[in-house]
Amino acid sequence: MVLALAILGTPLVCHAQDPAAEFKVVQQLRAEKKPADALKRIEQVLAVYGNPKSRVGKQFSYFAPFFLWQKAAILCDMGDYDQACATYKELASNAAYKERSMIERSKVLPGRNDEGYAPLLTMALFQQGLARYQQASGANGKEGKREVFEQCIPLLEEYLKLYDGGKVSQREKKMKVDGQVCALLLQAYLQKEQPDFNKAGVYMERMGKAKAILPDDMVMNALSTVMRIASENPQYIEWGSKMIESNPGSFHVAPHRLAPYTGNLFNYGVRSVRLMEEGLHAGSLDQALSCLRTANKIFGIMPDTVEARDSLMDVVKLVGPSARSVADKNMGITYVGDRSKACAERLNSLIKDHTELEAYTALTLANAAARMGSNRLAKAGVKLLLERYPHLRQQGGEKKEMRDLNYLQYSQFCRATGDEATALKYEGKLNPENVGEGNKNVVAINKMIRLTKEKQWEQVIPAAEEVLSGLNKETDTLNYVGAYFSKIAALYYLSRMDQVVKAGTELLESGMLTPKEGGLTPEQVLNYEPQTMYFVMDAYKELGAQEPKNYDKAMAMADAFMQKYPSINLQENSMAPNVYFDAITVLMKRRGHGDENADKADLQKALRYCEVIAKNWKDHELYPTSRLLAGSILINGDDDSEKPKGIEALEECVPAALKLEDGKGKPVASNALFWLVSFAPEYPREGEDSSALAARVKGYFDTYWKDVDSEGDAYALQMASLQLSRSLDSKDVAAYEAALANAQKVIAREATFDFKNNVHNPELERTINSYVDSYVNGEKAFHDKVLTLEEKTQHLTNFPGIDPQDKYSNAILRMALLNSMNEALVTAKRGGKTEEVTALERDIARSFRQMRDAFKPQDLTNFICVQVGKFEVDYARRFRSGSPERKQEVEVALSYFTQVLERGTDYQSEAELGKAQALSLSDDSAAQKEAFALYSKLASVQDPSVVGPALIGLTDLNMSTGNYQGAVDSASKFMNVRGGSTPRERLEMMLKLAEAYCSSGKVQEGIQTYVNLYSQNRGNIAFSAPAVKGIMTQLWKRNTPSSGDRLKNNFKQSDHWRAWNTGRDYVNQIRRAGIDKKMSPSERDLFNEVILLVEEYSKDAGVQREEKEKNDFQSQLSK
Amino acid sequence: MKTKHVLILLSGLLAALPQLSAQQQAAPAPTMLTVQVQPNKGKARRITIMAPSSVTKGSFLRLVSREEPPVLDQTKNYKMFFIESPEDLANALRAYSSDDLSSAKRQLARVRSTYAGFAGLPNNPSTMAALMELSCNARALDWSNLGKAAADFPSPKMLEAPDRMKVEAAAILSKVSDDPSTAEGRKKEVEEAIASAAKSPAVTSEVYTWLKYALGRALASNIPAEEIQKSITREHEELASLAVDAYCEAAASSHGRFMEIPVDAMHRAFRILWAMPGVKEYVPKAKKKMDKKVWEAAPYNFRDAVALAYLLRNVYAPQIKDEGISTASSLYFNGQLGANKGAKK
Repeated sequence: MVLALAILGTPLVCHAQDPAAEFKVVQQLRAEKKPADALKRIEQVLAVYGNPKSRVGKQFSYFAPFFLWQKAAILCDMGDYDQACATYKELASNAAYKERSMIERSKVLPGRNDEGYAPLLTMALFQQGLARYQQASGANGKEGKREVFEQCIPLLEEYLKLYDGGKVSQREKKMKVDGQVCALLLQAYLQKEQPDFNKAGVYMERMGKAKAILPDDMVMNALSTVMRIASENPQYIEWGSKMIESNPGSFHVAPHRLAPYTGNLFNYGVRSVRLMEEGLHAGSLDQALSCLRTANKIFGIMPDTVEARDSLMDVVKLVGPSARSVADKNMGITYVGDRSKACAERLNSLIKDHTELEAYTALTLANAAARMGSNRLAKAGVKLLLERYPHLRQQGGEKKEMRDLNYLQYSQFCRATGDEATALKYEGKLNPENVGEGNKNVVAINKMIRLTKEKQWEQVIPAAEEVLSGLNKETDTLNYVGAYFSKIAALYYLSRMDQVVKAGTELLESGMLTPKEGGLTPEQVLNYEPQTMYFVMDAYKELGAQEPKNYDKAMAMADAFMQKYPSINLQENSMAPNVYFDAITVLMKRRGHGDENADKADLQKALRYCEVIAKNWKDHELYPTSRLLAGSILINGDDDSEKPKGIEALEECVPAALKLEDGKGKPVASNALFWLVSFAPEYPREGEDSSALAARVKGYFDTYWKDVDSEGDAYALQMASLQLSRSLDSKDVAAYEAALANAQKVIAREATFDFKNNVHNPELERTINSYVDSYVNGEKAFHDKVLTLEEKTQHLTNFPGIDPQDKYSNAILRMALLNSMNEALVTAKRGGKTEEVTALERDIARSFRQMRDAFKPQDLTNFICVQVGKFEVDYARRFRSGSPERKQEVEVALSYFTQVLERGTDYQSEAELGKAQALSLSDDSAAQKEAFALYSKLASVQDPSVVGPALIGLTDLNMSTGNYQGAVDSASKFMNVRGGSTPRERLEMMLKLAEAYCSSGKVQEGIQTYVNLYSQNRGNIAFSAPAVKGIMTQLWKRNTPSSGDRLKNNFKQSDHWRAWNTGRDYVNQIRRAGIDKKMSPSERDLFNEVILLVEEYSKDAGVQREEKEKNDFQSQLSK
Repeated sequence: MKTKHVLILLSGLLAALPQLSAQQQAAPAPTMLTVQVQPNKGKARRITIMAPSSVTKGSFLRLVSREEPPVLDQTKNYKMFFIESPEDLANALRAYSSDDLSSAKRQLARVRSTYAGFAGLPNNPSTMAALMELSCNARALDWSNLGKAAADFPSPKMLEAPDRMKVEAAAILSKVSDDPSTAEGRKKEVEEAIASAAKSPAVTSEVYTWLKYALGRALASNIPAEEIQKSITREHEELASLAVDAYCEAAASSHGRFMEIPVDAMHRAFRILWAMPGVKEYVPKAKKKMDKKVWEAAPYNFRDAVALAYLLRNVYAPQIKDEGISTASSLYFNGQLGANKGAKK
């Protein structure tokens, strides 16, 4: 340690040649590192001059303190601190040396004419402390003894007390040594066996206030000690930056002064950043911030390497390359030429090797910024390297050039800041061979991550496979598992459910998801395993539509998940609500095993799972939907006493759904409110009178119109339609008028919305039809007015709010008018009113021609062409197969589609689809063949909105040509396509699938499909009635007799009884719910078919007997 | 900053070695010589030994000027020599280090004017003080005085490459403004300067920081001020992103040294990021609940704005009062925080 104070120990000129000459010899021996000889000479001198009472001593004993000082210093050099301290102590305490006369005599020495050796007497105390400090911290090749700090501290503090009390020499006062003493005390308190940070803090503060400039070595040693201690006690890391802040004059200095310490400073900065990362990972933001502040301060005082080298070379040129020190007292600097030269050469080699420390500094700070979340600062740091240090090499090892690594980093940060183009540019520039084996895959991984983030699932799969192939020897690594998982996720989002099951099962069974040494940590496993289980489960669920056994596999996976991840804490088990929710939907879908008890058990389980979600995850986004499902299960269930709970569940659903962010829950709320307005009137609360009930239902409507309704909402048209039809029952003319106006507004709005968005919404047509009915009936009921055809036409062709350019909606209104006329026609036919029939038939033909005239293909856009073409196809279906009318309408339809295909611009697939649909109506086998080919082609395109209808057409064709297995295949494929079809179309296809199963001999699958359809759509008569009818007829046909013993609880009812009972239950439920009062004529027809069948089956003697036996058995049981 | 000194060689002064005593006592008063050294590379290396002011009454006397003056040979005859920098210069440096920029500027001005007569000599105190004044004005973000100091720089042609580059960069930096009419010109000038600086070993981090900051300002002045205050349009999004990058590069280039310009750069970068499309719109969602999912779903500019605000508030500039920074930093989230907590080994 270089101490400015040490200069005080230099004895000065002596007039007596002998002691002076001897002193020179001693100094020479010390310089030559011959301490024993030096000590011997000192002892000889002291023996002669050391005794002030001797004759010679009287004359020359004022030399003795100088020799004692040298002796102690040499003992320190030798590491004999005890003897050194004893010598200093003797110097400080020997009363003879304090005699004024002797001190006065020493003043005659050159340079000592102010105080003589007096400063040495007080300095000896400081030197004792310094010697103990060296002994404690380790110096002169000796290992440190930390316990000695306890001896060092009191000595230094005692000296400081003398200094503060002004009891030191003028020279010490002038030199303002307190800063240096405090620097030592700070370090002593930090390094002692039981560090005292409070006391250390006091001295650090005082050190900063010291007026004198501290020697560079001392300052850097203090910083080094602080940083070393802080490494073990990160809470004190910020002392590093505080030290710099409180001693700016010592740290913000010329580059040549800091240059010798740049290596250390860099290490302290890097250590701080490492501690920052440790702090982050340990959950301490405070530590992370302190460390970053410190790193920033330390790196901030590091000079640029070129600047520092040049500055050092200036020094060498100024003072020469010798070991001689040269001081600049105003600046507080001591220049040492040889030291500067050596340092400059070191820096020069760094520059030549392209390993400038400030470049790593920028890199370290860039990484720190990235860890703290600032990708912009991180990117800037790497950009700096690319610009200013393009040839930077690694610090250690082979010192490989880092350019490609920096390209990689830069591209990563560009990507993280949204600059994909630059990221790609730099990724393209880098040579993967130069980024190291470990990083080679990083490029591939980056690509995979980017594609995953962008949801480019088709491209994620090959990208993930590239990563997997690059890591084929490291299958237990996080990246390998991550790539495997990305591939599964991509397959999942591409609806390739078979492959999801295969890849997901492989991953789950591979053992890679088992936490182990060298493999994934438990936390990492948690990131992948639950999601993979969920993907596989959901894939099985989707595949259940094709192969019902997959539902069982989905449930097995759900059970495995629940067993392995039982926690309800979302922090630990975030996938739990999704799995429970999926399990609910599986349980609702897989019903219909032919085992009523199992079905009921599934429903009960589904309800239980709904309750699990309700109880544990009220804030989860699946909570509202789970309440909706609970409501639907309870309301659809057999137990009437549970139905009010279903209403409650729906009521709980609505506010929760409306609470979801960004209106995400509105569709669920909309659905629940539709259920509520449909079913709540049937289940008054206890003590609730009809007016209160009506008010509650009105409240549901009000909530819908106030909080939920919006353009395009799936239930807007149905709500408007239902409210209008309800108003007819209310006998309240005001309510009717309001509902009528609202329905007009909603129809116009939705029509406009669909028009603007080029959407074809089948619900619009249904609602307009229903509107027309309600309008006709309402005018009669409330205004006693029977509308003429002309009035209806007038009303519909001038429908308020419909854009005259909206050919689609105007076409629907025209169609509604046609429908209305069709209904009148049916009634007229039933009434045998021949003239009226003739007139209506003429009007219908005329109206349709008018409509067609209004929609010429060449005048219409491709979209409208396709829509009108579709109307034509639907219209053509009204005519008998093979009839000239059908042929003619098919031709007209084809003209619209041909127009679109000839233009060859947009809507090509849709036009091909329409063409296929039109051709399929033809009797001509060539046309049907063409239709089949078109459907098959369209069934394999990517767009689900085309695939869906193509598969519908294909199924219809297969059915009409008796290819039932083909129909099963195409219908199953349809059920597995996500999107592109309306719920109604999916329901229709389920009916077709069931029918195809039955026709192809797979009766059980057929019944199961009917049951699935019926159980999930009980209130939807258009589907539930045919499904129930399907179940009844198939069971009746199968005719499995009853079996088992009622007493043994293994009794199974006969198929005939089950057929009758299914229908009876259905009819009763519908009637109880009052749905029969709201049915459209077509629904009523379907419902009546079930009633007729129930009546027919009820007359069967076997059924009657079995029912009687059942009742008898139950009454026996109840006794 | 390079080392530049005025040397005063003091023969015998306090060179108190015993063997000298007899002769030295009889010797005349010590001769004092001031040596002005320009010890750098370059053809015209020149060392000038001058008599000190006490002898020459305030003017330096050129004694030696040749290619290879062996200064050490000159000084070999002396047992110890001292280097003495003007006290005002030393004090100014201390004030500069302690962030007392006004005091530093005052004392530097004094040095500049006191030693103005030596401005023609390489590395004279006046020039050194003038260079330091540039740094002071830049740190004080005092563009007007920086411009004047750069324009009136004494004998810029005498400067070595790093210092010449500094004066040129100061002139560019002093032109920063929010005026869109001059933006293109400033951008072009600063881009050219950066392209040349990046290739030069003489460029210092300080100068590079200045140039990057000036680039950020030039780019940002093409964005309407009201957009930065409220919301940047899609039209200006790319430009704004470039400005943010330039500001961050200024901060990175400083690697923690004298943070006034870096902090201003980061603050400006934050304000732009905070006004980027989609950022403020995300605040209500983030305020409602901030977790990993919400953080990762946030626009990347939102994440960067928040992280930068948090770092400004907690690391680089806690003193800044800015409502945007307060709001943004309160939404900070770090996915790595606590990553090792509760880890099962």
